[in-house]
Amino acid sequence: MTTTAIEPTTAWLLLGAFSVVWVTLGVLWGRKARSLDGYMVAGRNVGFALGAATCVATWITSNTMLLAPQLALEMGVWGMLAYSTASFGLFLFAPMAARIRDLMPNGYTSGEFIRLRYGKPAWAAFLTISLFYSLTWMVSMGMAAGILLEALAGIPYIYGMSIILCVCVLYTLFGGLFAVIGTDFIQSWLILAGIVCLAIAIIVHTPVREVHATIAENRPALLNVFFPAALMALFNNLLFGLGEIFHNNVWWSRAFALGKGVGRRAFAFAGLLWLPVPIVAGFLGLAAPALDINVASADMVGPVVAAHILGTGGAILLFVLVFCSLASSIDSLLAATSDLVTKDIVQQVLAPSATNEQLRRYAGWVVIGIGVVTWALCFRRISTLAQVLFFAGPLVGSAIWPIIAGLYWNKTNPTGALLAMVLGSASGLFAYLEIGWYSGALVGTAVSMVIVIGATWLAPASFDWRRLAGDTTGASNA
Amino acid sequence: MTLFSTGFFTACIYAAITLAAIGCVLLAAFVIRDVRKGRLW
Repeated sequence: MTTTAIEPTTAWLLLGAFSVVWVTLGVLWGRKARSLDGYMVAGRNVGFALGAATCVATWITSNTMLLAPQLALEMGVWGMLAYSTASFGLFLFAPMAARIRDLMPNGYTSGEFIRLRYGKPAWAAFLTISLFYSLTWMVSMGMAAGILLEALAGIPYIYGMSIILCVCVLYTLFGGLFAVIGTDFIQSWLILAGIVCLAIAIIVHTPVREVHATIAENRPALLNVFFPAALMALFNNLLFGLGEIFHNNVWWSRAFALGKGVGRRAFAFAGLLWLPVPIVAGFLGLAAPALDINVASADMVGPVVAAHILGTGGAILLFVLVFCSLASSIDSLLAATSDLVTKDIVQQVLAPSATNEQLRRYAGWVVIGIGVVTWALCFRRISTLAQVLFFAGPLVGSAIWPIIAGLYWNKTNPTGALLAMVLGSASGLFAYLEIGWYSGALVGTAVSMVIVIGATWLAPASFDWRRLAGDTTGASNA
Repeated sequence: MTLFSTGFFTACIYAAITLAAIGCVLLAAFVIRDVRKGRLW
């Protein structure tokens, strides 16, 4: 895009309006979040509709809106389908959410589960992976915020990134998980409605058959049924998605927050809602060759196509979509990571005797601290969106098996779980560096699986599930 | 090189758009139902 698609004045007005709405809602809903349970797990009685909406909104990140078109443009149909396999994480987590709620009715974080289930060494490894991943995810979105506002409206990178981070910190700080879940519903609805409108506009402008014909003629590799790198990307993305959802406290906090009997249905419905989004967003990328658009930067293909088809209106629509997808994920990460730091580091290490009222206050300070650290890391653009995102793939892939086996298999060996996370991460990172980004999660998950199953077979443990249901606040449980 | 057919490609895109549109309507409907029954949260 050589010139900005939105007038800077329009963009500032949109940014200002959305910021005021989100922060006001955060303050209003914050009245319900005075207790620790209210702030961290929204009172543990969230219904089906808001539960599904928050899951789908959180999982639609700026990466979904920007990276799905990029993958489609670079890896064709398989790239587009590969991204949509991340929805399997939501489908497969659905039964796990129900089990987590049953096993830990008073739980707060995924870290607590690992500590109670496997002990402190595995807990330390898990926290390292989880905090690194959460920070990576947030930095990638903070950077996306700055890059996108600059590309669409000419707002300097540092201003756009700072404003979006600041707004998310404010309403998460005031409203906790209540504010996150409430705003997630509005954001998910705007995203789904917006992306459907955008896709219809493209089809009206350029029929799907025409898009297919142009690709077949000019870039047939994008339609290749046997595209080796894309097929690897498919499995890598599937496993990356599973790892992200299974281990991260963003999803565990929702499992704890949803009312009894709601989690399974809400996560499954969220998977259905999420499944088509990368395909529709990917279609923007595939439409670029048919529209004869010259894309200077692959990760900006979505906005470029939207602006080309709908002019300023399309650019504004995409601006809203990306703003919502950014806010819905950043707020969730802020809240869930703050819970993880407060419950697993502050309470376990720094202030074991802290009361719930004190922890509620600490959680607010942690939200601010995470926001500041993210801002500092976003200050300089570290790398491209894809590189930042996929670097964490091997780490989260290595956590899949310790989580699944730990939830369903009482014989799983704590030492095996620890080794699986450490060696799985190391081998996955080696593959990431030596083979390519598309192989990291695949190798990390495979190595982790072999170690968990092998260690359990060699030295089976016998875990008493009732330990998870007890008081999850005391360090003595470890 | 074996290519994805026009039919498959078109079906994929139309199915995805239809599913997203239905999801949008259902999500709004479920929220209205939960508000009426007092079980939003």
